[in-house]
Amino acid sequence: MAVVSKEERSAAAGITGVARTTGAAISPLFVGFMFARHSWINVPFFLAGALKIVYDLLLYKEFSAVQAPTIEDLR
Amino acid sequence: LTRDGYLLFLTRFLRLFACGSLSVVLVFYLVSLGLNESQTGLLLTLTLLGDTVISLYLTTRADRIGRRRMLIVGAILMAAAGLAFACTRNLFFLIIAGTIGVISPSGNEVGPFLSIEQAALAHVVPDQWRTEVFAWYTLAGSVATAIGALFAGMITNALQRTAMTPVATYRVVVLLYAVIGVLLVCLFISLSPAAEVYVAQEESSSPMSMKKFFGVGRSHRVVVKLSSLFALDSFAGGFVVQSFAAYWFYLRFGVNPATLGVIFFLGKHICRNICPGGLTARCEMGPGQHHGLYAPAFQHSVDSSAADAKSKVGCPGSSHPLHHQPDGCSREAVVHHGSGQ
Repeated sequence: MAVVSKEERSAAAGITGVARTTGAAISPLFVGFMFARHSWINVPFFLAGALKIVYDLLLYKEFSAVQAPTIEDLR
Repeated sequence: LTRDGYLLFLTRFLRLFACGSLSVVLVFYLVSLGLNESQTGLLLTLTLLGDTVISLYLTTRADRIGRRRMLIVGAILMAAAGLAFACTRNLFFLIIAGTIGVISPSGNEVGPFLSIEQAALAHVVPDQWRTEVFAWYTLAGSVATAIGALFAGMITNALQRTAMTPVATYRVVVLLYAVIGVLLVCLFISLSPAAEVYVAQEESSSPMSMKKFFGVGRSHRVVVKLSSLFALDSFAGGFVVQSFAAYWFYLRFGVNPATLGVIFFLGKHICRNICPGGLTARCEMGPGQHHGLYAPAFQHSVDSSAADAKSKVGCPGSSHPLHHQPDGCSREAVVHHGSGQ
């Protein structure tokens, strides 16, 4: 059960970390445009919720087969 | 806990206090400076992108140049950004200051601090206390954010009664952010070299992990998959970034910053501290299964301090806001448990 091999973990952590912060950085740009139009000010919340649900479902689909290791695995 | 340990707690508390208070007033401040919403959005995006690049640069070099020095640089960038934001109302300068400097629009940790600080903290704390210390460390951070939000609301409210204009009161909070940045510089300077000793061992592994940046070898596919998923997740989260959410409360319900301070204080306190507190406890108690839900930031430290499961750290060592949530815990587990042997 090797999702990421041990020696590659810090690189993996780095890459996923960058992906995360970059993702978070882009959205305020759109929020700005939405807030500028008064009929659109609620849209960011719906978008956030919808995208989070998509994320959850995808994560489940991709990784539901993966199990957490036991303490013996870690030794 | 050693003197360095207490110092690192103090710096984290101060920093998140500053971030928490700034996040409540930041968009109010920018709008009252005369920026429109689209410009504010652009500014926040560039700020966050800039922070990402800066922290990537600083954290990957921290091991070579020295943690203390990197922390000091980060704190200087924070102070400088605060000062610049307080002084100018020109969009161009604001963008430059926001991109280069460290400004947190999310009420959460930005900049290079967290990962470096955690690595240092992991080093100054004995193995058997690590879990507990990191749990407190996380708690201190979220309490600080919550108090910061409350404080920002209260102080703007109090000052507005004394005939100050709203802009001026928001500026006080921005200046406070800068002052805390300066304070952090002083505190990081007084950090003893003990926090650095660890570096020597890490030096060899760090550049190597950078070389692998694009060739993660056999984990390549899963990393790409996870990265895109995480990017999607935080892209979603970015739509409700705290400083914009605060402004939304104002647009939608006419809520003033004072009330917002209370809302965020309660919201953060309950969501962050009480719920995940229980979760962390569960992580620690779980028979093996939950051990080692450690975060990327001090992967090195945990790995190298022997492969024993004692050095596990529960959720607290997270480098991302969402890691405070159960969700974050489990997805870190996917990566980091991976092939734990």
